[in-house]
Amino acid sequence: MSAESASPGAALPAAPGALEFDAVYAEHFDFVWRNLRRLGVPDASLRDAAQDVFLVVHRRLDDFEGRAELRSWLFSIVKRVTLNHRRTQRRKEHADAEEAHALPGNLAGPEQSAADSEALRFFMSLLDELDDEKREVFVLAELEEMSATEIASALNCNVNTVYSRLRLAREKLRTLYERRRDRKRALR
Amino acid sequence: MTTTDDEIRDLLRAVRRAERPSAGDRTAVRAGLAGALVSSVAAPTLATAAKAAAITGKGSGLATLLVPFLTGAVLGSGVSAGVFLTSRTSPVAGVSGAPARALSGPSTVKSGASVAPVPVISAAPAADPLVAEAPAQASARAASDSLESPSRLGSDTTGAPAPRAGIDPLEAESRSMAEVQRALRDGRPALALSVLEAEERARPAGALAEERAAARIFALCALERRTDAERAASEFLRRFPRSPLAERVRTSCGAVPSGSR
Repeated sequence: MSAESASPGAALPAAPGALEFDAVYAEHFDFVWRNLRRLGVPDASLRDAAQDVFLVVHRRLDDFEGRAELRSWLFSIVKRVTLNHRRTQRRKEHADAEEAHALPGNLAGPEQSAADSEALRFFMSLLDELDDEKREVFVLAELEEMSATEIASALNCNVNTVYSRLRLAREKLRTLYERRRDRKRALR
Repeated sequence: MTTTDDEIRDLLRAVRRAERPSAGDRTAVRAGLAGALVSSVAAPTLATAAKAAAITGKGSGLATLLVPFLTGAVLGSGVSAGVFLTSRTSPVAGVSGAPARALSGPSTVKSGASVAPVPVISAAPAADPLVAEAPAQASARAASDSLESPSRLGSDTTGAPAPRAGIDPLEAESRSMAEVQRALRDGRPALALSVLEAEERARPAGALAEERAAARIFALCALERRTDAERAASEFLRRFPRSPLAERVRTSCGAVPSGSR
């Protein structure tokens, strides 16, 4: 039997629920993907983890009912799936992150793509050194640019806690960054 | 404000550029998702599913995702995709809204208990009900891996697939197959067999008879009931000679694939 000849895509009735899920998937796949990585899912497991997230989304979409911002809800799922993955598959480079990930080079030059990838690896190694609470707040505030209220909803904490964690996260990240940078300069 | 802050800002900009998923990532996850949502006996890996998606390569929706699996690109079930896709709860046994709530319920649900609308074999002692199903559904796990993995099932008990009043028979059948698939993947062939036999009694002429027959063979092989498996395989090949599952059935107990002799 030939799947090509079946040409089923156009002929099938679309279920309302499926369409709803499709929209969430289409619009938020990138969000799910990047935040899985930011919370510590290793690259090799990202596809599995993203799939796990959307399986939960599919199962739970009816329960969502717009009680919270969709992104907050998705992030809470991302967070749980990440914990599950990390429980069984610790990032191997965590221990020697400082050695493995050099400070990125020139980010504006013709080698930007390679430099961006290098920057990503470097940044992930910095994030690995934050505890989960600071890491989550930092990611949502600085990279997703979510409001404190949204973040509080995603992390199930109050707004003051968000501000407090964010301040600590920024300080910690700044210190880590400077330490790496200064070490690199000292080696020159 | 300071050089460090500027540098960190630049770093974050570079990170945003670099962390976008590739088209291949999107395709693979989408296809893997379809494979996991459909109660496929074969438990397709991400690679298999991606291949199927590449073959059909139509659209981006879940309905489209399910199509290759339901129309035969992978499983060749012969079941009308239209029937499956007329409602959200039909094709995706155990993962849609209502069934999911039942499946992710209390971890102590026993088979046959009145609170369980279907045999709740996935009612594992899950720490977090929100993701209780997700790891087991990760489609990239090969069957061999899953057979060796620790079981997530609560108990070996099972019951007849007792559909709730008002549940579409096809939906109930799909749910049972999803349970069979999970049991096989979790290395619980006895449980799979039990569910299959109960289902066979309840719906001998069900729409998923072909998948059920194949799954029974896989379960028998896993139980090392080789003679029974071979007998069942012969019967399967007689009944479904053109089944896409035929090759898997032929090689189910370690036999040499037909093309390599």
